[in-house]
Amino acid sequence: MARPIYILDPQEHEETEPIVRPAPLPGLAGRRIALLDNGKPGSRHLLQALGEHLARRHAIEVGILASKPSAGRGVEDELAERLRIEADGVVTGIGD
Amino acid sequence: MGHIGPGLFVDEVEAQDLAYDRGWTDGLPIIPATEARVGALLDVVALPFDLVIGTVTERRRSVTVGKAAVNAVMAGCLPEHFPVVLAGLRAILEPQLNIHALASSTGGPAPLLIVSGPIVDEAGLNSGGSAFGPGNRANATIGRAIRLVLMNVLGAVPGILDGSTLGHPGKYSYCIAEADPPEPWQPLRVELGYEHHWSAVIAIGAEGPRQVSNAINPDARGILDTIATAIACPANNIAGHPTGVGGQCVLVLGPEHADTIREAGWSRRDVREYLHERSVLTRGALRRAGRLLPGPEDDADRLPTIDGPDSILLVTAGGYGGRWSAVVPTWTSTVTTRFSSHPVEQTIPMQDLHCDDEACRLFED
Repeated sequence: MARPIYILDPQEHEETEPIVRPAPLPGLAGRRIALLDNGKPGSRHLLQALGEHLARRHAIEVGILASKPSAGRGVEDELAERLRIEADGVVTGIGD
Repeated sequence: MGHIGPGLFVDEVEAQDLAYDRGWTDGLPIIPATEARVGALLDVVALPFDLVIGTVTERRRSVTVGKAAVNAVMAGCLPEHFPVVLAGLRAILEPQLNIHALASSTGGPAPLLIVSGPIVDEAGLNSGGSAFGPGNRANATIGRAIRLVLMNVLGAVPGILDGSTLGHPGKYSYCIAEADPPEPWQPLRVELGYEHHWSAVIAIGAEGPRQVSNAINPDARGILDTIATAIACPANNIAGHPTGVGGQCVLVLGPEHADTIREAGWSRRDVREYLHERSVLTRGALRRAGRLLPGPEDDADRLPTIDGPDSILLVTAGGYGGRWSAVVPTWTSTVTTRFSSHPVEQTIPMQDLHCDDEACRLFED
């Protein structure tokens, strides 16, 4: 019979900091919605079409159309702060 | 007595099955990470198990020396390999490399490590024939250790946080070593600002290598023209990339190509500038290759595949007996990723450090 050995766990299970998700919007009426182009080639077309659809269907203000410099980078702090102040919700997507 | 890190008791013969059951492997068998094996790696670097060597904010995960050592043991590393693994991890955790995007992209790149300096011989790395492998334990296991850390610590598991459409074989292990070139050329680490007697690991987010054959042309310019076509490949993701700035690449010059070019009087800078100049594409060339870019078919414009001469990392490696080189491109532009590097700290003499009463630094402020 083989002997028991102690082996170390290679995986990391601890998160450096948990994600704090904002509460979902209770509805779209009266909200300001921004569109965030993530830098993929089709993203802007997809978002513009979606923005027009949302504005028509829900009679809401679809304002900012912002762009990330690259799909592989997160939103820059300055843009994130602007979106936080000027919009109640942000729609983004790949559109690849 | 306490253990050096979290783990579990397992029947020795079942350790392999446990690793598969828990998703700890890349598909290949592993060496069980016992405390004795992991402790031997920690002893070499004289660092504590819980020391954090870097954090990937987007994934909310940190890499510690201990988890790096556990994964390095599982990959098959010997203690003398671990300083290279740590330097490689510190390099890939530099924000400019953007390991989060690199490890998750559908483009399927992998971090390629280039080891340069005296550590190449000390750790038993191969910089000669079959430079990309297989056949050498140090190259194979150091590269594999990086992959296991990506999977086990940073969550780069296919289908979860690794979205590769295809990936490439370098996602198992991707580590080469530089053979210091004859003078007047200097090795890559010196070109990047490190002392000649230091060792360093350079990391780049890379596609697979493209072999470049030119066995007949005795002229340096002719060889470089062939290499330029491998860089300016219309199928490359960088070609016509919407960021418009080009990417980076590694050029591994095989010894026979390198000899011809160096003996013809070309400096490394000459090579990089010449290739940068010739690695542009045109909108017309891309459209003829089926790449649909907005605008008319035009052969007068210049779309970069490389963002500047300094974005070509020239490495000399490989064996004699054939006239081969290889181009290894980044998978996307420098807006998203740039190569990074880190010295192998354990190989730096104390007299080279800049110390005051509080701490020692590698470089002067």
